[in-house]
Amino acid sequence: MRRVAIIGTGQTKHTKSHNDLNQAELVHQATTRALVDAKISFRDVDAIILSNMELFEGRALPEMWVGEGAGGYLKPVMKIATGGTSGTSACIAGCHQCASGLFDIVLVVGWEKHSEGATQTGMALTDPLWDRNIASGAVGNFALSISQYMAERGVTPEQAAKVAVKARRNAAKNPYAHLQMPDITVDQVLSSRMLANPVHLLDMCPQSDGACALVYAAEDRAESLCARPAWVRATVTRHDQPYIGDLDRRLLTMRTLRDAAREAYQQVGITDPLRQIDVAEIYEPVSYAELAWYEALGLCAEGAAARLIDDGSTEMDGVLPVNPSGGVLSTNPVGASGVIRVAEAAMQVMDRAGAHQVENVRTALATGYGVYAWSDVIILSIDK
Amino acid sequence: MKAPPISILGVGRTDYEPKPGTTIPELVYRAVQAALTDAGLTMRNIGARVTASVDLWDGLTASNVMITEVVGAVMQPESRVAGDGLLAACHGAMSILSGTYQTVLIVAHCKSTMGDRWGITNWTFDPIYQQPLGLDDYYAAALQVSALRSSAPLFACPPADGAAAIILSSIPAPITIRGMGWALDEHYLGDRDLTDSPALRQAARRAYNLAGIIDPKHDFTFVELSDHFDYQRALWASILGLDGFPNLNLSGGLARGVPSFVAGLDCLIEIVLRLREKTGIGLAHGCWGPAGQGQVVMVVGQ
Amino acid sequence: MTEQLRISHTMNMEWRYGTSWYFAKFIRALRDKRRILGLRCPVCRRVYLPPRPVCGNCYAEMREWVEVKDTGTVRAATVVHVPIIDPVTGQPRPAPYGMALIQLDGADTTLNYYLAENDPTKLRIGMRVRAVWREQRTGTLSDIVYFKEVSS
Repeated sequence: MRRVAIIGTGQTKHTKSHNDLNQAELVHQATTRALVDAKISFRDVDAIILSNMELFEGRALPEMWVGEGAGGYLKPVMKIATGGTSGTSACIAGCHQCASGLFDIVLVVGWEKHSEGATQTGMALTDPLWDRNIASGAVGNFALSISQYMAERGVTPEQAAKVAVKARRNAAKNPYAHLQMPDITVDQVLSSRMLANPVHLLDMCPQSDGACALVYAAEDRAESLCARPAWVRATVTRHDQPYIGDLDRRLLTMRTLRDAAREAYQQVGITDPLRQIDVAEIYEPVSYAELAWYEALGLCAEGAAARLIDDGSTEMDGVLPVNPSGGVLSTNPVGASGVIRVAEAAMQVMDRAGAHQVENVRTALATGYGVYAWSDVIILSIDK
Repeated sequence: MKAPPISILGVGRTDYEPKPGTTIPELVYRAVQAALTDAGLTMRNIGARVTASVDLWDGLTASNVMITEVVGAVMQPESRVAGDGLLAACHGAMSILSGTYQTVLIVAHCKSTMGDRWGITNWTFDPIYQQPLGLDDYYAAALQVSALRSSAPLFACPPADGAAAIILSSIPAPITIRGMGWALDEHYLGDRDLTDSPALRQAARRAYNLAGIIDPKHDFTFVELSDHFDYQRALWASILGLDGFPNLNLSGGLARGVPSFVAGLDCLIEIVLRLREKTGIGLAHGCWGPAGQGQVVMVVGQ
Repeated sequence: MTEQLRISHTMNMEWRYGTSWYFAKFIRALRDKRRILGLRCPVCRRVYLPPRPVCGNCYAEMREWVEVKDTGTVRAATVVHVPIIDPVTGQPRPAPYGMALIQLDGADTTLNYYLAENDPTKLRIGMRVRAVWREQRTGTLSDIVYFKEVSS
């Protein structure tokens, strides 16, 4: 099996409303930056994977219009769309296409321009025969799951707020992040508008306009093009049942993430993730989710997640910094969010994360989350 | 193509009659069961799935969520290509070549009768110049017919509902994938030479190179092209070097009623079924987008 | 100063969804008899709502219908304060509204639906609720107005 590495990444600044660029231009900007970072030209790209939740912008087959922005003319272009996991799905697909031997250089670009669409309408298109008339968006769904999580684990709104604070303070050092709040406090989170008990406005991810691209190269090309590539060591995907009511204690159990992480760790030989992983970019749509998923990812014993945030273990100077980029809590163009996780993890391994670089990163974890409980887990490393 | 050769272990599909009373999960389940039975496998043998469908056609956000259970993807890997099923087959083949999976299930579904099948395509056009003109795939086809100076009437294939599935594997079997290629053409109709399809040329070039096809008219035994509109059959054939090819669209082509996004995969199934009767090399083709902006070609052999 | 030009597009789409045998039976039982039917998996014996052709955990076809009660236990609950667009009316729902994941007696899945109560201090995981039905039924979950607390 051919080894594959990420040799470059690029992002646009993520904002509430990118009034300066249309969707194709957004993709073009991220692509150009990734190509420059990878030190290649668009002619070197052999295949392209695009990631986007086009229904949110009310579009169909968006690669038709936007594909050219990624340099797709006469290239093998494929669009992957799996809800929130679109970005990580696309990254996994790009890795497989590169490892297949058919392509030496594969470009993956994810984007979303929520300001051009009606995301809520898109999200309301759930099963018309069952739960469409109750559909209460992402925040409603998470509030339900969080109520179970709190009842079972006793986590407090303060502890969740600490996650929200960590994210936005980290984001302040990330020039691309949407929400940058260097002075945010737990009190501010707790006094922000209540969206759905117990989720406050500042507990929740934003909707952003933005794009993110990364470049894969196969073995020899990666080594000749890049002094410190981020090698892909594991890619695992797990999907789950279609209705929120099917998933027993969804946030807490998160069996897809548990199993995907278990499989990925086994493939790489990780037995103590908290210590053996140097940085993690977790797809966390709401503050409480990050806590619940510390447990699902095996970073701590069951029930001990709150301790990790309380004692600073996942802060930038902790034993395992989580989301130095600011995470989805700070930046969320849905089609790009998964790509951003992988790109940021790669930047950490490649020592290109600038002001939010963690020291001595050898192994990085990236996760994707989508729909009700789909999970992707990707592990990158400085070692082949 | 590179080792290991990718075999097609089984194929299955529903009929394509309009089925307003049937759910998509039920259609997909029937196609999956048919493919598993044909291959002599159970869902336990399947390592991963690649499905093909488009939200706006299904009237559901992240629409593959409703088929997760029937494709056996609960606590399993699944990926979804928003495009033609033949493209999903290409991706599935690559995931096997990457060494990640041994056996992959490919499923495409569409109920063209569910919604406004032309109106939906207005939303594929860029929102700035072309969409406001009210363009859709039907108009794009009319423009292409006019560019070709063809006097033939514009005949679109009838709307259809159904699902098709194939099972790919690195386990040896008689019919294998020899080559594949896909490409995207320009988007703005005014930029394109509608009498030609550079995307199809490029896709075919890649597929023919990998498969060692030198003389298409003589190398191929069977060819199935996705003629969403009647005029497309001659156009695609000509670009593929198949003018006058005798065994072209023996199935009757899409005029017999094949759902969008299932079409390319159905072409592949037709080829596989014929190759089981007669050894040879076959070509399956799919396309999507305005006047075939996206093109995919797969060469298989017995 | 640059002027921003806006081009507006409005999507008007209609889709006709099928029900197949399983949703058809569910809808008829709800509309005609006020009965809520789920399907039981022959392997794990779980009763699923809504009904569907296959148990995703066992990949087994389900054909055994089981009636579940219109009373149940709240497994998760929240009060939504933001104006979410109601897909049925196209208008923002009056807020705040209570909603929950309710495990109906006899079912192994939970149902996401409205609660009568919208005071978060009065919601408890584990509380018992009963459906309040509309006079006229159409065979969809909208036939239930909301779930109201009952003392067990």
